[in-house]
Amino acid sequence: MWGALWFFAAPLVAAFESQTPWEPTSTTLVDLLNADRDYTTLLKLLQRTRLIPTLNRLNGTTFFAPTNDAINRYILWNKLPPLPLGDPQQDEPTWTHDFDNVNEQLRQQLLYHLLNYTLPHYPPEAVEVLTTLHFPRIPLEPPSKEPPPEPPWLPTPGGLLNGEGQRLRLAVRDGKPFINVDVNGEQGIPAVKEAVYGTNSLLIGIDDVINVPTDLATTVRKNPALTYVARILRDSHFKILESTPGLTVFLPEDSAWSELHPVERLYLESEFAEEDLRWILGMHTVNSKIGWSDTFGEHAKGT
Amino acid sequence: MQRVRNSRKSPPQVSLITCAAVRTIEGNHLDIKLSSAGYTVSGSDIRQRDVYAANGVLHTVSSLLLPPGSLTLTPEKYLLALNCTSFISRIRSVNLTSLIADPDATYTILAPRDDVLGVAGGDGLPEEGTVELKKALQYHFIPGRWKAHKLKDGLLLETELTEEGLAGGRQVLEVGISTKKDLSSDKTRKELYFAGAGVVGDPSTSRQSLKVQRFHSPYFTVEINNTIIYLVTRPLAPPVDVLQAALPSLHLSTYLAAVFSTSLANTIKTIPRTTFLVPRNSAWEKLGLVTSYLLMSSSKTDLESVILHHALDSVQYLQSVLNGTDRSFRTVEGTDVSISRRKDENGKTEVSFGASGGWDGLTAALAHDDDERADTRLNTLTQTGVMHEVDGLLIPRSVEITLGKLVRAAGGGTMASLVSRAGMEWVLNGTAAPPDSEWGSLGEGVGWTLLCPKDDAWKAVNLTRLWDDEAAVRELVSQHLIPTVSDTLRIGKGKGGKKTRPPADGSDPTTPVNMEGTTHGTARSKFSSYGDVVFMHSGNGEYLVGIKGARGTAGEEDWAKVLAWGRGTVSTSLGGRTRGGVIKIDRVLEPYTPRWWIRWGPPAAGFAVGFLALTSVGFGVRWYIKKKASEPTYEPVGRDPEEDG
Repeated sequence: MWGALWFFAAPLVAAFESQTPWEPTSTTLVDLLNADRDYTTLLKLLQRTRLIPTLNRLNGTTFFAPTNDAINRYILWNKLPPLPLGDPQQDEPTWTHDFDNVNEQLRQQLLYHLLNYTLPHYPPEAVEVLTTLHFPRIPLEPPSKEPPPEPPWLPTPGGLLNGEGQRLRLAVRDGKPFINVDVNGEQGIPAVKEAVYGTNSLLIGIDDVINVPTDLATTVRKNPALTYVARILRDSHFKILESTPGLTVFLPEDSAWSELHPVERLYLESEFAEEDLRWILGMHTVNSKIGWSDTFGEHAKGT
Repeated sequence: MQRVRNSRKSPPQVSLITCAAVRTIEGNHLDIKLSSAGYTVSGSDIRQRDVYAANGVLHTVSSLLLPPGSLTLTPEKYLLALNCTSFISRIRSVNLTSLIADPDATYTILAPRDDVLGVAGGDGLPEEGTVELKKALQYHFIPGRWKAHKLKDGLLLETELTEEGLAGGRQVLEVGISTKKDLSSDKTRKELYFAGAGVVGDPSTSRQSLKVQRFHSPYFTVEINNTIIYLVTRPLAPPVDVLQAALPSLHLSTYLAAVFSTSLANTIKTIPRTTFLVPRNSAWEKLGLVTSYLLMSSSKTDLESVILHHALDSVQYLQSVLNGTDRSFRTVEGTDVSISRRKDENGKTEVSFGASGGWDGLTAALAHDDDERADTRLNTLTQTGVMHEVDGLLIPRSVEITLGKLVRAAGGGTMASLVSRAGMEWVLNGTAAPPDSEWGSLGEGVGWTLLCPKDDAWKAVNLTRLWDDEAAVRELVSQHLIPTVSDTLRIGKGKGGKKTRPPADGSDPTTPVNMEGTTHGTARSKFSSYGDVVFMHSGNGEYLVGIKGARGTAGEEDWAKVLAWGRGTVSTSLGGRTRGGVIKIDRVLEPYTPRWWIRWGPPAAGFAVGFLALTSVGFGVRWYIKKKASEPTYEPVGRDPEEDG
């Protein structure tokens, strides 16, 4: 009899035991940030961008948190005018008046530091690709100074990556975790603080602010292996690369172009080749589904 | 909020697996494969993988992802790239885009660059949109691929330009190659010319520096697919008509003047497929009175025949003239000109053309391209064919240059009327002497040369009295007529067949008689021992003629100066080709009859001297005898009484 009673009671007990989040001992990510004096500046930025409620609502987070030093070094954020950030001797910024009420740009960049899940194993064994809460988009008009109609608690999916969040790579080199590494696990920003676990949250202090990936046009222009492409493509082509969402671009490196006849190259370099260059660009661009290398397999099924 | 994606490991190292086939914006398919070496896209390696960007992802690849042959650019595009944009815009303006739009068309294009067209000021090409421009542009396209090493000096290439003047045939363009010494180094450098326009030789002078190893040729040749492009230093002008082509050469001005004086100018410009042999001015001058006659306003018909005799009825470029096997060419005039080729000691071929008419040895040699004259027109292309310069005038069979015509050209009207008065019109109109006349007995093949005093010279002669005295007229005329025995009769019996032979006496074949210090009998020689005339040099390059043996009162006036001469084409005999013609002189050669004292003086004096000598001898002897007899003699008296008795 007692056995039967126990049999019925067991799920209840289990259910009761799972209610632990309501315990006062739970520590949120904000609590973790508050607990560490290295994150005071970051907290101010989070407040400024109305991200504190967001952090509180997320059920499971990983936050790569730039330390005070990191933010002080980061020139773009340094210039934010009303913030009493470290050095007051910064030049008077020229774009103060353009700042919108939610600091959209800053908010986007902070979201690139944020995952909506707790990393299952940290530090990772190999290069690990993470999906962040940064959904890049092109503001069709400059953000207004009025507050948005609803509280901007959570980032809305959508944007230029066909609704997917921007990616971020994580790797371990010489036993040290690095954030924002390249595909081979090189470069990146070192984690300077030990990972701190809260309730469903993971806080990793990093040594620099992570830059948000730029649009394809800028990416192509900056790539040292694509100087030839950058030279021959005209503004109209860069416009495509800049504003078309969800592109996968396979661009030939500089050495590849030598297979063309010099006069063909001369033609492509001339001002008359716009149509042909548009065609060449189109031959190297896929716009159906974003082709990150880890999704190549899915394309085979998808198309 | 969705949980977007879980973490992923980097791809496992697997041998070749097809991961995906994706379609590009332009529709071609890219196969993405994974091998142990990494990812490949349609065969080319992915070098930088997964470069994140705000609106997608970037992979760099090792080669162009263009299917072979898919990037076929048209010649138009290459020309644009080579900075020939204004050439292109002109081509578009006359609807010739078909020449440059087809990537499969095989052409050799001679393209002037923008800077060239700009420098030329009026840029050397006709107005946009005109037929002339269309023709000029077509002249820049040569069908076929003509690589530099296939080109030879003097080669003629057919262009895309078709000319009505060539009966729809393609106009040609001449290739020139000259070797020049490079100033900077001691090496010689070949230079290539198309229709006189040089080919840009140094790629580094182009807008974009083209230091590319693929240009093996010493010239700036661009070889792409089916197209070869030479950049030329100026736009090419298609050949103009023959008259325009000859116009800049001052030494061909007589030919032009002759053409324009007839009504042939338009005909000549448009007769399709012709070769013009254009005589130099010196060729005209050489013929003296013949040229004067041809250029007279009353001899248009003969002049037209002569001009058309210089137009061959076919296109004979220099190569076929020099190395062809034809022995004669038909002319537009209707008769043929013969051609003879001979190698000189340097191995150069000398070519001369023989006329269908005129006289033996009337030839016109083709000008040499290495003549000192800078603007020798040899192988000059024209709208209707080609033009060569020659150094002689060719007279067709249909043109008979009679003495009468030459006398008219010499301005010898008085002499002509005197000849008629003497009943010898047959000399003037080229018929044979009547057999019953005293000259009929000279036989066949006699040519006549008339010494024709200019009209002014008759002032010294009392023409009125002369006119009434028919015998005196005959005497005067026959003093001016030199009969010539036929060369044909003399030589033609030898080895026949050789048509052009030098005159028997080696004198200038354009003269009616040999004037090199020789004596010629006249028609009067038969009747008078003072009938012969003798020619001699005056010392300043002129010829003098006088009656042999004549003694005048005032030395020099006894000689007439030769002013001009012309050789006639027709002798008085039938079919003979003897010399004959008109020599214009500055005074009348009055028949010489010695005065009585000149005739009888010397014998009379001789007689007188002899008589005197004889008489004096007689008297001398008489005196001597007399003197001897008057001397006293002493004899003994009475010693012999019988003796004294």
